[in-house]
Amino acid sequence: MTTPIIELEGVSKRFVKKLDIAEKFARRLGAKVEEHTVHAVDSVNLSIMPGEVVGLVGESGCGKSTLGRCVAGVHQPSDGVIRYLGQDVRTLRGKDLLESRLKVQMIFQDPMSSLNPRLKVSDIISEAPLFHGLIKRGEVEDYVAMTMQRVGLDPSYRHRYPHQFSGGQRQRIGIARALAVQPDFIVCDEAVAALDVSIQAQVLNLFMDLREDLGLTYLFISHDLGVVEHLSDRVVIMYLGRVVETAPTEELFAAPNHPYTKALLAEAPRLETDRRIYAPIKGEIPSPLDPPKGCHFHPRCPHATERCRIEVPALKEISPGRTSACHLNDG
Amino acid sequence: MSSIEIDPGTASAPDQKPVKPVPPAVRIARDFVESPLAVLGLVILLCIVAIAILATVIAPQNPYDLSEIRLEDSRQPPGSLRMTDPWETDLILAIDPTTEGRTEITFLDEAPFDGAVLSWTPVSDENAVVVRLVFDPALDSVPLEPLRLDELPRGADLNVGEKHSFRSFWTVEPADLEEFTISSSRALDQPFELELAVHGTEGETIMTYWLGTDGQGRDMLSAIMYGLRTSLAVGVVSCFFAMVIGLSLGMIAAFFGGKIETVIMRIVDLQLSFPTILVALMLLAILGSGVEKVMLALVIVQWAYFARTARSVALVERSKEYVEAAQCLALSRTRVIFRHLLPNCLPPIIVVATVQVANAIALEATLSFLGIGLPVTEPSLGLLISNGFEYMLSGRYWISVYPGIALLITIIAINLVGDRLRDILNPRLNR
Repeated sequence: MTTPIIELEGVSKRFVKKLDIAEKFARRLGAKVEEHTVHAVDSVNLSIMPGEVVGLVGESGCGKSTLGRCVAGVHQPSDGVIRYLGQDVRTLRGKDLLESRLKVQMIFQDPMSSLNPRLKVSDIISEAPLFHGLIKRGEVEDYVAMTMQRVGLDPSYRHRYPHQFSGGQRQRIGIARALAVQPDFIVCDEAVAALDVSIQAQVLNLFMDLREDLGLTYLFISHDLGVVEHLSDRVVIMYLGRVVETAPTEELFAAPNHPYTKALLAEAPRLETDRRIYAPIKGEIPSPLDPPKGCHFHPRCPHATERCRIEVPALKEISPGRTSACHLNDG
Repeated sequence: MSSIEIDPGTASAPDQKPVKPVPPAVRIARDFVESPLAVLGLVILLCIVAIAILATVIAPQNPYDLSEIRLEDSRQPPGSLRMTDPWETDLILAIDPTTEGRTEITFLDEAPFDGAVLSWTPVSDENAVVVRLVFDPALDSVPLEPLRLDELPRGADLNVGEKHSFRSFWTVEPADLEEFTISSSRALDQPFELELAVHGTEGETIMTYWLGTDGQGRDMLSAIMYGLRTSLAVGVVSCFFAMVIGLSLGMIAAFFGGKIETVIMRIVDLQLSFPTILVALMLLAILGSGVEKVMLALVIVQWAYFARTARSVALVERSKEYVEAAQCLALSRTRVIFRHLLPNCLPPIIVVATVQVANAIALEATLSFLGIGLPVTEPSLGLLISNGFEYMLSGRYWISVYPGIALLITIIAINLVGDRLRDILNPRLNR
């Protein structure tokens, strides 16, 4: 068995709003003032094998972007271990640390704000490789041209600024910037969500071509089940900071196990001729400031029992390669 | 995968826009020109800056060079002419009354005469001598004070002019001096020397005091030019340092957050909670006066505005994804701050800077007006206004009003430019 390229073990990310002096003083006097803690990601275990495309799906605010940023090294997890090729990234120092960070790159949702508007395309692409000494100053022109061609941009546009490009082209620039440091692993955070459908298809095809050419591994974060089904080998479903189900794509779409997954798939818009009645999942996604006890999904789950209100369901293997966190699986 | 197959090499072709690359600076300039008022402001501002820079060359007078100033010209109203010092010379007329004689007199270069011829003829049988004095050009063609003739021989009289009631000299109108007779009750048998004092009347020069003169006889126009120089220099330099300090602290606060941010921003709040003029007054009371101390005081009262703006802008920019992308690319912190964050924070800071330059000039003028700003040797517009203030009630308005107008125009011009810049660089209006 090969080592997973990325392995998460019990990764949590909490955002804490600290008390200010007045609130601390009030608390000392007996007032009920609590620190606000957002459990954006709650002990997530996940391993991703080289060459795999893992889709990470969930509602807005379920912590999927935060998880992606932890993997890409933008956020430091509050708890848990992230391993890159089997090595805990916190124990890495110097060159190894730099290597592990550069090998994991990220592509962002908003193609406008993810590019520095003051830099020319050639500077955006060549800055990091130059800074880290991957290329020499004299090689910049060729390197930028090569990278731009790889993502389907005309190298003659390299002296333009980001605002002179369309959304799809900007996203290609973002991809070129990530590719310029020769990564193995790319986190795509809603990378096509802000694009028109026709451009989405072009960019998705580009991702797949790059995967074949460069042997990339993707963590593909999306709320769009259609895109994930089209792209992924394996799907991870998140709900309020926790992973509720993981399964190979085909199996998941054929036979979802977790009630949340079932509800999600039932509501995915499809091109079908017959009329369908959409039954939305009842209620709002609960606030991560004050998540429900037990199974996070129980207030909205049609099958919820007393046990679901008290006990957190563990993520258990229900068949080879499939896991689900639901008490209903226990019989 | 199979439904849509597009070669990545040509994939971007449909969504390419035929945009010509336009550098941001050109875009800003184009937007700026759209407002005529702002262009007017910019033109005036450029003129003011040019005047300030070239003051030493184009000012009609160096108002702080004492040798160029005449105290007699003080408090002249606008449009009055500058008077020259009266020309004067003393001539010695040596006459030997025993014989007929003739001498030529030469003058120094600055005298309005090319020369003069002195000749005399004794009158036979009488103790008298007829003296002819012919000037070239003629005496009465040059504006002269009445001439004074002194050191006549004892007992001698003139047939022209008038003797002073108790002193020894005679006063003669220039026209009468062409030919005069010295007669005496005694024998005129010794050579004698007369002293002739020739005084020009006050002459005019081509220089006009267009804006009048102040209490020391300085040309107000020149004084305003020099004052603009000082005012602008103090405003711009202090604003620059305030910007450097405020920008750095604001960016540090925004980027690092936590305790550092709390400390910096509380100091800013504290600073802004005091009226600026009060803080400046207190500081100058402690520091004493002087150009560098005024600048220091201005920097201290102004950095907080820059820090607050810089922090708020940097917070917005920091949350944008390109900063995360830079972190993801493992770029160093200083590089992220200075190459990515800072350039994107600059536009609002530029707007604040233009407005703050105007404020700094006004504040410095206020301090100078109150007499605790710049020293008299480096007068700014505020000091000029203050100098003329005491003459206002006596109707000599120009000493205060014209520097006041210059100050007003400067501040309005800067504000017009600043307002337009704010409109252009406002991220909510542009993209």
